Formats: sequence, C-alpha cells, structure tokens
Amino acid sequence: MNTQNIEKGDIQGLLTRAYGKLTGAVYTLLKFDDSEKAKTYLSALADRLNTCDVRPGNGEAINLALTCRGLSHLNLSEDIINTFPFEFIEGMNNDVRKIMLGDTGPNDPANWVWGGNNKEDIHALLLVFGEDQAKANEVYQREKDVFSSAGISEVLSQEGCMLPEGREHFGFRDGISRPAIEGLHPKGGESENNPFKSGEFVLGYKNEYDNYSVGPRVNAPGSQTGLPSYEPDPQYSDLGKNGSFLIYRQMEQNVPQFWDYLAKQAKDNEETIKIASKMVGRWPSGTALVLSPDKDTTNPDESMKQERVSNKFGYWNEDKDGMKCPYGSHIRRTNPRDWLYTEKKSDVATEMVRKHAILRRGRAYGKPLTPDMETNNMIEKSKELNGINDGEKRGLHFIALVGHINRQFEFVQNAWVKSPNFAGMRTETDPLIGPREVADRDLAHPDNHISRPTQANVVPCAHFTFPDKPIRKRYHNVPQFTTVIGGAYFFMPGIRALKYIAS
Amino acid sequence: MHTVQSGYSLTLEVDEDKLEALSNWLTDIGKDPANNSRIPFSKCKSTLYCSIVTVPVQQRTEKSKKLPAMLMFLSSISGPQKVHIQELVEHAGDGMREMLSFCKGVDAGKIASDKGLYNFLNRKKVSDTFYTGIQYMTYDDIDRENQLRDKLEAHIDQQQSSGNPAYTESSGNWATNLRNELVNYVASNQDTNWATKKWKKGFANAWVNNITLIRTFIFILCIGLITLAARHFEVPYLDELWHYFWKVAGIGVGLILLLLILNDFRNHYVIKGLKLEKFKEVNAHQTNPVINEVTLAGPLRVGWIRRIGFYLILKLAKLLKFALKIPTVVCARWIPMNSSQRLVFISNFSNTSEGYVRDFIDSKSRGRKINLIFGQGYGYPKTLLLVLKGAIDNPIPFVNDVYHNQHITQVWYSPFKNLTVDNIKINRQIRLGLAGNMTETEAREWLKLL
Repeated sequence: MNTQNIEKGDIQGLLTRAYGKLTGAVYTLLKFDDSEKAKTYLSALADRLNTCDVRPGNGEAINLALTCRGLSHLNLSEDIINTFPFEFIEGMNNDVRKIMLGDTGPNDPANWVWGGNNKEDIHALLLVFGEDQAKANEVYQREKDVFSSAGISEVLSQEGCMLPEGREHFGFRDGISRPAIEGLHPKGGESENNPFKSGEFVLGYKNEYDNYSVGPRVNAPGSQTGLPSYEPDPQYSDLGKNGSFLIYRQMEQNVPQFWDYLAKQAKDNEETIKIASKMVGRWPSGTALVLSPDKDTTNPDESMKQERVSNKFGYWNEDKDGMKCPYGSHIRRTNPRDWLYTEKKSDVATEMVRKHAILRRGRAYGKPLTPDMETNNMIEKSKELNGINDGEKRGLHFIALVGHINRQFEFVQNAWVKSPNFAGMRTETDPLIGPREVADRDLAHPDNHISRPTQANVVPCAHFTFPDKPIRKRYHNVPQFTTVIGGAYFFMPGIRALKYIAS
Repeated sequence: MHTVQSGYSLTLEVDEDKLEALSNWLTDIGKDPANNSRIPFSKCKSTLYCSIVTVPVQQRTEKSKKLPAMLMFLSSISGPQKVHIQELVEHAGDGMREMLSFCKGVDAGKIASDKGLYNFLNRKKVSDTFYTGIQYMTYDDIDRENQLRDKLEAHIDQQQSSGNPAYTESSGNWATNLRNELVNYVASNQDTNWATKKWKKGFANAWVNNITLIRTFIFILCIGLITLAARHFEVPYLDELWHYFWKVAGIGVGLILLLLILNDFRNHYVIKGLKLEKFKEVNAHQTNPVINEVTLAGPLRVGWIRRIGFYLILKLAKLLKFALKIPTVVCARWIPMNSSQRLVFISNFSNTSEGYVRDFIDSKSRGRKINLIFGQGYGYPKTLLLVLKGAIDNPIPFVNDVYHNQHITQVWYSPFKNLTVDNIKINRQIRLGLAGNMTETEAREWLKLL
C-alpha cells in the first residue's frame, strides 16, 4: 500500500493530526432523540467535517464518531451492525469487558459520570477544536444551535485543554511517542524507519498482518451503495473503509495524592522526582530514563529538539534488566518497544509489540495544580494539601484510534497495564493508570456470578518496584492515582460511510 | 521417587442423553474443586492442575460421521502416574465412580472395589503430548517457594526501611555480601532453612523425563550394533537390505508429507464468522486476573492423511519436547482423541483467552508452529505447505476457529491461580540461588530476581 492509495479526503482529520495548533477543544456526547432529523443533521455535517487532506482553515476543526447504540438509533440494519467487531457491539461497560480492562472497584462503570451501565445512552461524540478555547466554544455553540433543532440532545459537554509544554497533569511531558504510519504521517516517532501499515489505524487498508481488520460491511456491491468495495469480498460494500475505532476514556487524576505520596517516600524533592520518573519511565521534561537514567540532562532551551531524540531508544540493548527504566513503569508497560519479558529475541518482541500499537489523540481537562506546573512547586502544593485534592476536577480525556479495539487497546490495557504479573511481577499494575486491585468479577455486584461460581478472586496490586543497586526498591500501598469516570467505544466513519449511515 | 510432570488423560464416551446430567454434576464440583466432597483435589497432592469437561457430539457436516459425546478428565501431575491414580482412588474413589457411571462401557461391578477402580483408571488412560514450563516442580515446591519469596521480600523491605547498609549501599563486593545476608536470614529461620539445601534434579528425574528420547536413542543404537555385527559376520544381502530399508522409509515419509501438502490444496472449509454469544460465553468463563484455562476439541480436517499426520506430528512433538517453548503457558497438552479423529488441546495460560490467542500469532515464527499442529483442525484457515499462511495471514478466522472449538470447562482445579509460569520459575531461581556459592557477578544477577 502506498501513499497514493490512501483516500485522505475521505478520512477524518484526527487520524493524521492531533490539531496541536488548535489549543482549544470541546468534547460533546450526544444522544439522538429523533433518528430522521438526526440523519439530516449528520448528512449535512459530513461535508463540514475536517479530513486528512486539508489543513484546518479558519482556526477550527470538527470530527465525529458514533457508538454502536448510536448506529442502532440511526436505524442502521442489524445485519450491518452485526458485522462490527464484537467488542464494539458489547461496549466498554460490558460485564466481562470491564473486568478485562481492570474497571472494577473505583473504576467500575457503576460509578462513571457518563457511559456507565445506568447512565444515559451515548450515541455520538462530537469533537470540536479551535485556535483557542474561546474559538472552540464558539464553534461548539454554533453546532449546538444546529443539532439541538435536529432532535439531538447533549448528554455532556466538556472542554479539553493543552497544558504548558505539552504536559499532563502529573507534570510530565506527554504525547512524545507516536507511531509513524505509512501514507498518513510516515515521519517522526520511534517507528520512522519502519512505519506502521496504515490498516493498523484506518480500516479498509492492510495491517501489520498484511490483512484487513474486521470492519463493518453492507451486503450489496459498491455500485448500489456508493461505498467502496469490501476488499476481501467485492460482493459487499465496505462501510468501514477510511474509518477507525475511537476509544474514549475519561480519567480523573489525583495530582496532590500522587506527589504527596511520593514525597512521603523520599528524603527530598529530588528523590521524589526520581521515584515519580521511575514510575513514568521519563523525567518530567520528557527525557527517557533509558537515555538519561540518573538525572535529567535535558537542556531546557533545546527541549523540543531533544524531544525527538529522546524517543529513539529501545530496551533490548539499552536496558534489558530494567535498571534504568523499570519493567513496571508506565511507558514500558504501554509500549515495550523491542522488549518483552517472555521473548528471547529482540526482533520477535518488536514484531509482537507492533501488533498492539495505538494512536493517541487525547487532551487534558481542568486547571493544573500550579499554574506554572513546575515540579517542585507541585510537590510543595501537594504537601500543603496533605494529598487531598483541592476540589478541582482535572484529568485526561484519553482518546485513541485503532483498527482493532481488542487487539490493540484492550490487549495493552489487559495484558500490560492492568496485569499484576507483567514481566514476572506479582502484585503491581501500571503505577500511573492501573487499578490497585484486580478481580475475576464485578466487585460492585459480587453476587453477580458471571464467572465460575467460586469465591471471588481479588488480587491486590498496590506495590511499585524498581530495580536498583544493591537491591530493588519496593513501595507499598501505592494509591490509585487515576480513576476512570467515563468511557465508550466509538466508530469514526469515513465521510462516505457517514453519508451512507445518514441516508 | 521422581517428580517429573506429565499429563494423566482419561477420555470416555458418554451417552448423549446423560450428557446434560453429567455436565450439571460436574458444574456442582466446579463450585469448589479443591474441597468438594466428591473429588476433593486438595487431598490429591500430585495434582497441579485439572480440567474436567464434557464435549458434545460433533460432526463436520450433516453428512459426515458423528464423533461421540465425551468426558475428558485431564490432570497435570507431578510424580508417577500410579501415585496419582492411587490418590484419586483413595480420596475421590466414590466421586470418580459416580462420574464414571455417566460413561459408556463402564461396568459398575468391576470398579466397585478400589483395586478395580485403580485398574480401570490405569488401563483407560490415553496417550498425550504434554508440555510443562515448570518441569520437576511438585505442589509443595511451588507453594513453599512462593512463600519463601514473600518472606524474603518482606525481610528486604524491613531491612531497607531500618537503614541496614547491606541493603542500601553498593560498594565493594556488595552483591556477595547482600546475598550472604539473605542466605543467613533464610538459614536462621525454621520455616525457610530448607531452602539453603542444594536442589538436585536427580537421576530418576532425568531418566523418566527423557525416557522417550532415551528409548529412541537405544533403538537406533541397537540397529547400529546389529548392523555392525551383521557386517562383521558377513551376513548376506545386508547392504541390499539397508538400501531397501532407507528407500522404503524415505518414500514412506516423503509420501506422507506429500499427501499432507497435497491435502492442503483441497478446498477445506474455513470458519467464516462466529456468533457473539459464543464469544460472550467463553470470555465470561475466563475472567481470572492472572491465569486461565482453555479447552479445545474439534474434528480434524477432511482426509484420512490428516489423522496420520496429526498423530505423527504429536509423536514428533513429544520426542522433541525439550525444544518446545510456550512462554505464557504453565502446562498444556494435545490429544489425538477418538482414534485421532478429534484434535484436543488444553492449556493453563497467563492472561485471558482473547490475549492468549493473540499471543499465538503475533510473530510469524510462532504462527508457523501453530499452523503445523492446529492446522490439522476442521475450520482452520487454509494453510500452505503445512506451516505457511493459515493463522499468520488470517488472524480473524483463526481467532474464530479457536473460539468455535472451545468448550466450557465445568471443573478447573488450579491451586496456583495467581501465579504465572514466570512467577513460578523466578521463585525457583531465587530458591536455587540460596544454596552453594556464587561469584560476585552471579550474585548481582541473582539479586535482580528479587
């Protein structure tokens, strides 16, 4: 597959760009009350959506994604809906999936603000971006005026923001590691020399298996539907082509708790930052521990240049035993690169890890703990607050795009992030985003025996260990710093597909 | 007595009309596999894991031959099989009799006595190809080595928080010194001093574990010796005999391979889709956070050569089991059930089924091995030359096929549900490192295990 074959004009823009210059964002969850009117709105919206082939003009951009329930409400036939992958149909809050994802205990969908089992149906996600927040709000208001009169109600609307120097709320530079993708954005990122096949992220193209991911199709040839032919079987039309699956999880971050806990484990701020960096796998500046294990050597004046450099590293040759970047750190769990504990060869590990990549497009929400986000100031403020949150709701709109939800996002979450036994460990999960206990059943409803009718098996995972000399350091009773408060799986269709759905 | 791990596999036909009752009976045991009153596995210490599962009548198509409903009792054990059977008779005799009463051809009178039951269980066991990632370990080994690690970890935490310099500073021969500290701690503690004694594999273990290889070697050696002797005594037609033997053997092996490869070109049925309910059903039974169990059973592909091929592939895998490495599996086995008409596979593995299945095909080299064995099954994606294409190029039909052939295991006994194969192996390495001497470099590597 080469660049020319990719229909950039039919692919929504979020797949190629994070809209980094559009610093304002509004994420709106929608519900279709009147399907016919909603279709009219979506049909018109399809022409206003930003695509990959054109840079956003007028300092604004709009994209849209639909849930499985949303597609049903738009009267898409059951035959077509059943061609979507089963995890998309089941949804993130499904009784089994939530266990697999580690959404038990505080993360349980029963506690979610949106998307939970007892919450209002979510049918669509409207993503609006503006050159600043005022512009984003203006575009959102403009759209709201239109969709409100089209039988569509707003379930929840939230702003997304970009924190100073591209940091997330704990104070670490984020969004450094992004996959290079053939035909979409082949340059930059750790995989620049070997970009990912576009089918890993966009449906209708070949993926890393040299095959096509499961996408929706219509039982009629393209000549009848106006859709492209379904490559594996031309008697069908490809409803998925140029679309992608969008994972949206809202994760609340308890920043004072994070820094206060770490400060209590350390003798001074320097050590506090070191432990935090061991948990993340990078220094707050974004410099990878593998490249600079003892102290942050980033020159602040050249930090943007170094950002690229600091992403070109592996673990196999540089840090096989985790002495620099612990096995259990956030970045090593979510992207083990060329290393897997179970594998004996780097190339096999790389080949396997590449089957589980995700394209992140999220943004923060809420005000930072301190306006400058200087790490020492955040530590002091957290100590002042004694680890109790200051009342500000802050966190991350985690948004990721994949061609296969189960193989990519769910695998990473299940086998790497929330696994207490990742890389031979026993009682720890991802220190930043992992739950502190994992269970074989729904802990909110322990009598709901969806699994074997035996006693519930709950594994506590409140440790964090990092290898050190003379021997590892282990931290106990690590609080759960991040709580999932909402989430859903969406399908972000290509423009033609959206028009078909709205027809 | 040796502690070699093996699979005890009992597969028996069940009357179709008794299948539901048997399934319910087993489900009841599955509520508490360790301590139920019928088959209390916790009393059978030779058992490391056990799956008891029923398989319904299966057939490839409506016109093809029906494969009977089956009961499969598949335990992974350490030590001699006779001891395991004796334990089952002694601690679960009545439960086993009750279970067998659902099966065809079981004469209640003949298994009424303990001796009769023992003989039956011994006689009816079937051959399998067994894999373990934790060879030679017994139930007690796994249990106490895990407790040993807990104690060591707690001790290290305590020493670090009290500022003991051996645990916080790294100067001089720090690794040797720290290891000595840990060895002394273990030696001075009554609960753990057993760990300072050197563990030896032992002759019995080496012999039993490699018996198939040894037998094969002895067989080849005998042939060689006989040939030499015959040559010495100038036995007539010897060279001709050898010449024809190699020809026949070569042609035989080549023919089987050729027929299998040609069979690959047949228009084999490939599973197209799978109902959401099947995914839901399987996933709902594999929610343990650390390890889970999977049981697959399904007919082979069309063609008698597949039966021969599958049988020979399993025999070869058994012979070369020392070369088998399945990183996420504690133990697994394949069985050519119903005279090699059905492919049976069970595994105790890390993660959930969805992740486990992915693990199989995330690398091409692993995918080729998977093709060779699982490619014999009906519905599997089309392979080329036995190892190419198949699951490697068609991951979705492969996943569908695996799910399609999965059966809900009514009884899964797993006393080490929260330990992966890596955990058990690391615990063993920690234990081994407490005995004998080490260089500074070795001690540094060993300390990284903790």
